[in-house]
Amino acid sequence: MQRLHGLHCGQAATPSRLGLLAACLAGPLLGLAVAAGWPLAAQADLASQSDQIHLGVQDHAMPFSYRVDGGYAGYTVDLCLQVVAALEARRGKPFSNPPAQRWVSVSSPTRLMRLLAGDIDLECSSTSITPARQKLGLAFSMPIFVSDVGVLLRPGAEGVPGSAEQWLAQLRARAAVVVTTEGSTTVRHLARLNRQNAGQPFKVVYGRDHADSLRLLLDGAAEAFVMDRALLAALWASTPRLRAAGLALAPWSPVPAETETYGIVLRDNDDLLKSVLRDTLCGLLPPGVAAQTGLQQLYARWFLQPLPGAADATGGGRGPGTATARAGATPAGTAAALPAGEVAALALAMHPELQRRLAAPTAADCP
Amino acid sequence: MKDKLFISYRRSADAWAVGHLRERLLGEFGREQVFFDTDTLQAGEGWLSAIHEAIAGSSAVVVVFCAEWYGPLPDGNRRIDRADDPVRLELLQARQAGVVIVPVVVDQAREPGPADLPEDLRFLCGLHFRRLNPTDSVDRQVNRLIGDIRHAIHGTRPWMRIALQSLWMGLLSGALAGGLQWAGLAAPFQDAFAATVQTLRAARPGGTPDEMALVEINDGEYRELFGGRLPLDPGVLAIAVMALARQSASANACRGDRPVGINLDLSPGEAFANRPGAAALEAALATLARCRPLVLACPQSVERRSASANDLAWLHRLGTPGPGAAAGRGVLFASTLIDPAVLRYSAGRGELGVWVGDLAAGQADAGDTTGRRCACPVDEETMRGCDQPGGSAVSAVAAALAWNRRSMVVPFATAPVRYSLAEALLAGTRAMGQPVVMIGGAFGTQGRYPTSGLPEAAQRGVTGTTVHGFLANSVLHHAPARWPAAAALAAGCAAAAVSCLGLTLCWWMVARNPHRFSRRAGWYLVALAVALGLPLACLALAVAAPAWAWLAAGLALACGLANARSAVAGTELLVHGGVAWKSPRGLWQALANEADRASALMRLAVLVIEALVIVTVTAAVLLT
Repeated sequence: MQRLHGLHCGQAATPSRLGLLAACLAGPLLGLAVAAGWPLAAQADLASQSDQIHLGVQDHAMPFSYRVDGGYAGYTVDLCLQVVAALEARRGKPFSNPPAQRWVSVSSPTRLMRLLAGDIDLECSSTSITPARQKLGLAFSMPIFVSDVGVLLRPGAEGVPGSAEQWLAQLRARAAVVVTTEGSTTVRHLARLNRQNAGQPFKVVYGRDHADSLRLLLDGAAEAFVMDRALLAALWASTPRLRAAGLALAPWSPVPAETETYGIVLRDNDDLLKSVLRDTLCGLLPPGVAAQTGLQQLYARWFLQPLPGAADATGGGRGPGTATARAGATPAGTAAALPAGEVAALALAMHPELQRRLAAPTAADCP
Repeated sequence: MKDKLFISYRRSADAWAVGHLRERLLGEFGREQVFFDTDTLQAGEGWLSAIHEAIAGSSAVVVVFCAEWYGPLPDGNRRIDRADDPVRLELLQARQAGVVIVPVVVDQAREPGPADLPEDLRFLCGLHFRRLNPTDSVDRQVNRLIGDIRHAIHGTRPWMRIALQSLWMGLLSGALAGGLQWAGLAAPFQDAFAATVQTLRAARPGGTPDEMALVEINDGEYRELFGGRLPLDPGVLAIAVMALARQSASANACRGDRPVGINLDLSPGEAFANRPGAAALEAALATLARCRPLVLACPQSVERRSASANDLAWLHRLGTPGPGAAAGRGVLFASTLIDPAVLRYSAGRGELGVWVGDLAAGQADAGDTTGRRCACPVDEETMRGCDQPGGSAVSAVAAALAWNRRSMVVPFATAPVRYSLAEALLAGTRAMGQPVVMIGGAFGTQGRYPTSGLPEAAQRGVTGTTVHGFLANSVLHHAPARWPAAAALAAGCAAAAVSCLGLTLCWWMVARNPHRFSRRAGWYLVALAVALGLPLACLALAVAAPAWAWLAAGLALACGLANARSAVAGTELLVHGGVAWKSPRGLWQALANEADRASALMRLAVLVIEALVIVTVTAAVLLT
């Protein structure tokens, strides 16, 4: 930095004092900029350098990313597969690792660290876009889904509480236990709810992943599972044990002001992948087209019909979705065979903001 | 605010001057604000009592001197020498009530000298006189006089006075806070790691800044990675360590002279070995240790003898070289603590930064089992013989480097290259390819595990030793954090004492002049609440959040200074009868006046002391 400073001062050709001053200031400023920027610029695009690609997926983040026979499926997984195909087309050659070896199972607490560490190149599940995560050197795609926060609970004698306030008051009165999944943004929502009423806190326990959280709920260690509504709805729809246990998805949100906007995550310095990701998603959601878009088709596939091949997240066997899929039934046919409310529960996950986005995509995301 | 004026004059004075002054002052301040006997007194009203009341309620008395002001009588005597002379009585009462006196000399009259005045009016000689002559510049003269009167009433303009005082107090507080930092008494807990790096730099004279990478794993970053939940997840740390190992290998940094120091910072009372991910972390650390020497900070729970048996077993296994360990590599343990209770076991035997620096310089042996054993005694067997100082090779190296505890207390040590963990992972091989890599951070866990709040059984280690003596929060176990808490305590007590003095003076003033106090009672109460409440709040902050104790200390000091200044002002109110803001130049001039000398000296002394503090501390910080 000192050398840069000296060069600038010595080479300043302008005779004016102002110019000399500007030149002298430019040296340190340039040096500062270099010093601040070089750590992030030091690593080139991993995905473009490497001949392999790895996708971070979750086992039980239905319907965004979940394990099926021989691999992973889901709304976000579908999007990522399209991105990988586009990336291969851009490279002009396929990645060397076969598709079955591209999956890397991650959980909520580990997904971002694995991305930063280079273990995965794209994280394809249900990660909320937050400014703090962006500051870590992570980049997000344009929003792919919007959800609010929901509650999966065991109704009492009087049924599901009529409002979030009523439910929270009951929780605090009993100092009850709720569960959420470690590493999710819900952790902070619950902490804030407790801070707002520090005198009567409810207890929060944490599951390592969504399946662990469901286990805690079913075992009675917690009486409610607080998580993004879309995830809860899909878990409820695809897990017969939850329905058998009488659990219900509350129609209100404990934090109505909060919305979770999902995106596909990648490293901020992976410029090639960022470019391909943006082009791919923009191809699915052309600006100004209000008709059926690729994203809407994907949405209809993953949110308006039973989930294909979803394993019971609680370990209790296959859900009806798997059975119907194996029987080769059409989605329309399976819907009729589903237990009452399953598709309705899935559709409940559709946030008004998402409806607006699907109905009238803007050019803001695809310049 | 009281801003009434009283015009004192002799009836025989030059009519033009009194009349002109009256008109201008009435126009400037308003008829209600200016007492002029012929205007204000009603017929039949007792003039003497009315005048006394008016003076007591005024902020300034304008005295018009002229040739006849002394009141020469036909018998050669003067009216001013008589005890019942109204003008003399007005001035004496103004002085007694603490009202500012503004003397004006009109026409060719001369300023009164000591010989011209009776003894009790000689204080007038020390005052600066304005002149008023019937020339073309009379309006300018009156304008200057009005400015003087305003200055006497309000000091300077209120906002300017507040701004100047705030600036001065800010400078002073900043200097004191800087002094605290410079003296190393206010280093927050989180800076202990930076201090380690400072030590490391000192241990490697001539080393260039690019020779080391400091990777900071800060609490906020982990909160984000974990979604806001503490404490540190060993499984997540394992991912990072494995990535660092991979990047070290790709940077061709797998050498014996390329050590990595990691402040692992386990939490006391946590059964770390049983937590999910601990096995992955163990494997990742072993992988990194096969690549380059790995120095881990010994968990504080071990150094305090309060670690659980599970933790100790895990650490013992971690420190045991496994198959495939290269010569000169492996996992070593070091100490980062400077707690006197811990120094018994680890003083000078393996401070993290010193050891890493020595390994990089080839001055220490990575296979020094004695140093490792004593730096982190995980069982009774390894503790044996370690409580005798000077028992290892590393301590000799540390002594040669003149390392001591004070050198650790270096606040705000700026690391030459500083990454967050995320940046280091993104920067990849460049960060990991540097000869010395220091990775650390408090992870924010200590504040969540106050040892003093745990049941005694939970604090008891395998040796049966029970941990006691830590204050409200275990963060205070770091000496740099303990000092500011003590400073805050001392400053708070001093501020409270000064506030009590101010309170006493306040009541004294009430007894002397209830009229004056009643007008400002609300402000006095607010000031008192702030003066007493702020130091107490600082103390509470220092106890509740020890990491911010330095801020509490600074605030308490600033509050103490403000209270001290208030006490000076109160004293001056008693001595001088009134407080008008004076510039340093004005104070210097006031020294010439015998009546003002004491208070002016006091205020000048305060200013000089404060200025000396600012200059000294600023110079010390800049020079070092």
